[in-house]
Amino acid sequence: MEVKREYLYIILILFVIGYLSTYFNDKNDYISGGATQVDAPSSAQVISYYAVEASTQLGQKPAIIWSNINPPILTDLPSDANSAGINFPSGSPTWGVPATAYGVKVSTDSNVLGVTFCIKADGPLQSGINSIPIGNYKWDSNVDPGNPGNPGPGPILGNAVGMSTTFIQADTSIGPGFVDYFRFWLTVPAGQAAGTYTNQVTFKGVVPPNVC
Amino acid sequence: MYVNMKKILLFLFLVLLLGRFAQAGLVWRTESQFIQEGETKCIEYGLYNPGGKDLNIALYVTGDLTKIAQSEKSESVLLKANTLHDNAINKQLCFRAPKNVYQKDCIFPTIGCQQTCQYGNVEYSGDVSTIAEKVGQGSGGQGSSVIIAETAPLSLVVKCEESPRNFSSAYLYGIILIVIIIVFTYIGVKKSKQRKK
Repeated sequence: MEVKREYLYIILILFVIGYLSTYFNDKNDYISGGATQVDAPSSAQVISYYAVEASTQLGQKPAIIWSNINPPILTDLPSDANSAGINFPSGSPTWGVPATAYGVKVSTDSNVLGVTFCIKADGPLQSGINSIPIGNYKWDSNVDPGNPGNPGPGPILGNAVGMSTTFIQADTSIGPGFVDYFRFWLTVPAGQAAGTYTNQVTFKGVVPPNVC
Repeated sequence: MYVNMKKILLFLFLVLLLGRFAQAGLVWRTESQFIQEGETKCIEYGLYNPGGKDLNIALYVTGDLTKIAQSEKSESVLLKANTLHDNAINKQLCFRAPKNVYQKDCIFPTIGCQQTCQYGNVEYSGDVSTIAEKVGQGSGGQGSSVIIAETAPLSLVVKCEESPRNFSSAYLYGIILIVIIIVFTYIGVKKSKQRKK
């Protein structure tokens, strides 16, 4: 009988602890009674969208090709589809003299003001254990001027820079419907081992104020 | 005449090269969101294909976001050609914030803890990119294959909520300790009385 009473005391004490623990918990402030304030949540959703379309040549595999490399005398050899020096009637394609088949276009189904294009390679052109240094792979870009009568020279070797494994900014503020054009050049060192050299180039579109 | 014909053929060839574009589009509805410690948040992106060719597209996460992304790449989705942004197919990317991003300042473990937030909010930022699963046609050859990526920025901010030093757990532990002492004392006294009898 005495032992049972001790258990009853312990149970009673546990109830007291339970009650006290609720007392120390955080309490929420709340308004009750006749509330005079009504919260009306409001929202507005802004949607951004854009698409990038690559020229057919950039959709080929490989896309950027040098098909006739005969070392040792090869400095800044233009890529096959740079197509330098080809004359076109003005108007179409946008570049008059010369043309290039490498282009990335901001789709007309886009609502961003302008897109910045960035370019990088995953590494040097590689053939087994042999490679052509990434700095020997040069590129330049130029924007569709929208002026077929005076299209300008397009991307030129004089402005070309070496490819990098981190993104480098090409052109900025390219609006819907406009194209950023590219050309590529390659210098093959004397005595370069024979082989099929490949790598992967990535074109990335970003929307300002974000950068490459 | 022959020269003109050659020029026309070259022109047509390059018009074809330049005229046919094909890639994907990205729709996004947010560039930054708050996330709680331990919370899982999924963010929806739209994918569309205004080009003339069907594409398999997946979403990728880059930057610090990879640390909390449940998967760095979404399942790829087949996008039919000539779909515009208002017919975009939605895909989700999910992120889970770690449980203990912010360490509480405690006098003893779990006792007298406070959250000061003196270092500001922790932010995970990066890009969400679309990349076509199979870019390019044909096989092998000398040169570079190409990937085209569209990106949208995203920052997930783990909100730090300041709290004053809290002693409620200390009070609770104290009460429990007192009760245990009382109970044991009571039992001890009881037993000693029984022995005396």
